[in-house]
Amino acid sequence: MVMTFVFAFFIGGIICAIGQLLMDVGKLTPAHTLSTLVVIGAILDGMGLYEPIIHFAGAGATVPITSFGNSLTHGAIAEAEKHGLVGVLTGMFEVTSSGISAAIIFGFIGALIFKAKGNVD
Amino acid sequence: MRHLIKTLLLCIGSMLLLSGCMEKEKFVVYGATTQGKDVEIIVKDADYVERATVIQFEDSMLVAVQIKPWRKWQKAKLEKKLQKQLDKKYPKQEILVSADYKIFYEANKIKKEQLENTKLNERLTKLKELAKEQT
Amino acid sequence: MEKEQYQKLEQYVTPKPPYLKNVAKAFVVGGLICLIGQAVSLFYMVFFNFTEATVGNPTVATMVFFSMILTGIGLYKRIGQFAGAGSAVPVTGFGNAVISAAIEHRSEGFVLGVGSNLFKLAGSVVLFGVVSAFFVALIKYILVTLGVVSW
Repeated sequence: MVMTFVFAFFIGGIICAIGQLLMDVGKLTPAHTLSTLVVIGAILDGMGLYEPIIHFAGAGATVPITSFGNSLTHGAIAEAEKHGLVGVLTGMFEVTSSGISAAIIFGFIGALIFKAKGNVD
Repeated sequence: MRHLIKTLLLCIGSMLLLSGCMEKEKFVVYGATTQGKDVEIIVKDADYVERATVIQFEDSMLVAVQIKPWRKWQKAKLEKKLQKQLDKKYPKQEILVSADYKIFYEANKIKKEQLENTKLNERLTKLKELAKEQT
Repeated sequence: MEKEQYQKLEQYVTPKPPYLKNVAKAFVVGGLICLIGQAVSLFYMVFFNFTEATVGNPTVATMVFFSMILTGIGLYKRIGQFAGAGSAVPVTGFGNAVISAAIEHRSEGFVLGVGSNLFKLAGSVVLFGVVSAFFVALIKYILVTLGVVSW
């Protein structure tokens, strides 16, 4: 169990380090970087390489944004396996809903509770 | 800042040390041990298994294993491998192999609480269903 | 001054970011956030009925909840200034983008303000996620039908 924590730290850190390199060396904006990482997550899952990373590092692979790409692709592939081509469309949000729904819901709640701060820094 | 880093490293270091020292039982079998010995041999043979807890009740068996950390990325494959091995050995038994931590944790709880008969059967079936969930 | 000349001058004068330091900071903060996520996962596995396979969902939702708190009190911005990608890459960064946009535009009303600005930064993530998942799944489906790969 302890090792899973160590691996979670390392893999999570590595994914974020890659993101930082994309921003610094690749001169990508944060939006570009995140989009690239999501696409990478999707491609890795298509090749069957992302699930092993999740088994190995646990939250180190499910917390970074790459896991969005993985879940969307995983759901699509799983449904396509069961129901044919149409499954590619229907299966996509079956598994991912958590992250995106949470962001929308907590965004709304946040807007209710918190007051906007001006950009004073 | 430096003091914080020092204490953090000390904590992590001692945690790692302690986890190596805790020699918990590596292999546990609970329940009617009609096939106990053989299962033990097969599971111990599998060098990728770190710990295992087997719960048996009549002809239903749950083999909850913990795969060694560095081999965890092959978790799904190794699970299937062990499942095939045991299915071949015991075709008449309903065996479920799971490398999931939750299943392992719950199986150990069953052993700790020393459940019997109907309660054991209930928990065992519930646990098997849980292991098959995908989302 | 011509545009090209100006761009060259800009490149010449702009200081290079400290690459190694930035990567190290991103690595540590990103790793810490994932470490907290692992603790949250362990919590859900021990006290609730989630297995390793299903614990990803509540973990991500909880991390977004944490990012809501941190964004609301203005702390996430500071973490972001320090850690760069270390705070933007985890799902908490996604949550921060959505939630900060919501909080900021609340004064314009919920429909026109919050509603239309919610996905200002997150939209591209969802767009590219869905589109890439579609193409990857499509390609896999075609390959399986042709018999090149198995599911």
